[in-house]
Order: sequence, then C-alpha cells, then structure tokens
Amino acid sequence: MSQTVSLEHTVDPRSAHHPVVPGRFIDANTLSDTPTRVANWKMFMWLFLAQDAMMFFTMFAGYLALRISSTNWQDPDAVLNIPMTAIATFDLIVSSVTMVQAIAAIQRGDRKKMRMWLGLTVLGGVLFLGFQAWEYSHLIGVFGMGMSRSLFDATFFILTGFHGLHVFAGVVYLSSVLLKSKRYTSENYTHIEVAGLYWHFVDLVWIILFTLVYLI
Amino acid sequence: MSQALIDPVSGGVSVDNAHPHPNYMAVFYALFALTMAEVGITYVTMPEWMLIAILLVMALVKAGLVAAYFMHLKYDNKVLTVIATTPLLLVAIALAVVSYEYANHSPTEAAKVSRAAPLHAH
Repeated sequence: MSQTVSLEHTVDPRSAHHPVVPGRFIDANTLSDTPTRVANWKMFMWLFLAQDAMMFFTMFAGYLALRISSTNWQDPDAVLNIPMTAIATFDLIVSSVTMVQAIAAIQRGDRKKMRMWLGLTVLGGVLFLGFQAWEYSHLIGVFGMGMSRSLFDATFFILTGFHGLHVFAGVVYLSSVLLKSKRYTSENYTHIEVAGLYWHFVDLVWIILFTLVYLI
Repeated sequence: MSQALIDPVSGGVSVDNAHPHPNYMAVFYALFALTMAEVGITYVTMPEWMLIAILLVMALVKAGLVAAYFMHLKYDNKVLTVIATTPLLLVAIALAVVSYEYANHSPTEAAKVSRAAPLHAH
C-alpha cells in the first residue's frame, strides 16, 4: 500500500468507504485527494478569507493607532446610534444562522428548505445594508459627517464602507447561488458551503468592527 | 490501480452519525447574549482599560464561535484553523512594529500629523 496515503487512523469504521474519483464533484465533507485532504475550493476560499482578514485587521490597526494617539477623539455614543446598530448586528448574526440552516437543509437533500433559508439570508443582508444606508444618510445629512472633516469621520466611513461593500458583494454572491439552486443536491452543494464561508466571514468582521468602532 | 480510501465524514443527521451537527441554535443564543452583554456593559462605570479588555474578549469569543461552529472550523482539518489564525498573528506583529515606530515619532512630527487632520467634531 505504498501508493496510497494511509488513512486508517482517520477512517471511521461505522461509515461507508467511497473511492475518490478524480474530476467528479466531491461533497463538502468528503476528504479530497489533495495533500491536505481539504477540497480545493474550500482551501481557496479560506486562503482568500485569510487575505481579506489581514486587510481588515490592518485597517483596524490603523484606526486604533490614530485613536490611541489622539487626545480629543469623538465619543462614538454621542454621534452613532448604538441601539440601532446593535439590531443590525443581531440581523447579521441571524443571517449567519439562516445560512447554516440552508447548508444543513441541502445536506439532508431538502432543496426547498435550502432555498427558503438562503432567501432569508439574502434578506438579512439586504436589511443590514438598509440599516447602514439609513445611518449614513442620518450621519451625513444631520450631523454633517464627512470624509475630510475629521479622522473620526474618515475612519468610520472607511471601515464601515469597506465592510458594507463586502456585504453587498455577499448579497450578490448569495443571490446568484440562490438563482442556480436547482443544481444542488445532498451530494453536490459545494457552492453553497463556500458562499456560506464568505457570509460568515462578513458577519465575523462586523462583530469585531462593531466592538472597536461603536462600543469602545 | 490504487485508490485512496477516504472517510466521507457525513455532515448531517445521517445513518452513521460519524459527525453530527453542532447545536446551531445554542451558538446563536450565545452570540445574542454576548451582543446584549457587550452593549449593556458599556453603561457600567469602570476604568476604561477594563472596559476595553472585556469588550475585546467578548468580541473575540463571538468571532471564535462563528469561526468554529458556523464556519465549521472545529470539524475540519486543522490546517484550515492554521490558515484562519495566522493572519491574526501576522497583523499583531505588524501592529506592534508600527506602534513602536509611531510611538517614537518626534513631538514635532506628531504635532504636524494632528494639525493636518482635525480630530474634533464641529
């Protein structure tokens, strides 16, 4: 058995064994014939998310450096609507839960339910964008916030703006997956899981952003 | 022709139950409770460093829950966890280096920076 990688220690005796057929769709939980045994698409999405995370974290670092070294930083509570943004945070978390339910549904083979949960996820994303749009219009129109007015304003808009663009891209991404949902079965749902990873990442970044920009 | 024997670790409610779902609703309740706690704790008077520390810990726990359970990291190959956590280390190193340099700016440099961009709201 010198040609196969020995996987006896990972094999669960209770489960069936399937040979790996190169070129065929491999379902999300099947070990692939890649060096790490992780499917290519999954590895790629994680590498992309790692890169994206580095981008966001360096932006957070820049924001923190500016804020820490400042003597008269605006109190976020005075300007930003924290209760409403808490609701927006809750909305994104719920949309992550519906995303996970969509994946669970297609794993069971229930395509109808999967569409429903995916639709709810898209709705959650659109609602979040609505929250952001409302808050932006309020901050710009009523408080007169602007990118060139102060560092508080500039960092706020850049951080939330980048995140909002990611949410928008995620909504488009999930919608396109939803439109193509006829092709997915319990054997083949890779696109949904990959889209789910992206969506959870967007939620995760917001969790950090909300804490750093609004609460601290 | 030799073929790699693989274990199709099932992800759902399945016959062999080799890999059951985590309790997604429990994770959701934890996230919800943590969010409420985060907002609530900002109203408690305490030294600022303590508030920041607590909020950061809460945020990291929430992020960890999303990553481990919703993004399935806990049940996947450990290499994905390495990929996911390395950026944090790298950015922490970058932040440390930049902060050191920034803190060692001459006073005139720092003053020039803050004069160029007013920090107070109107």
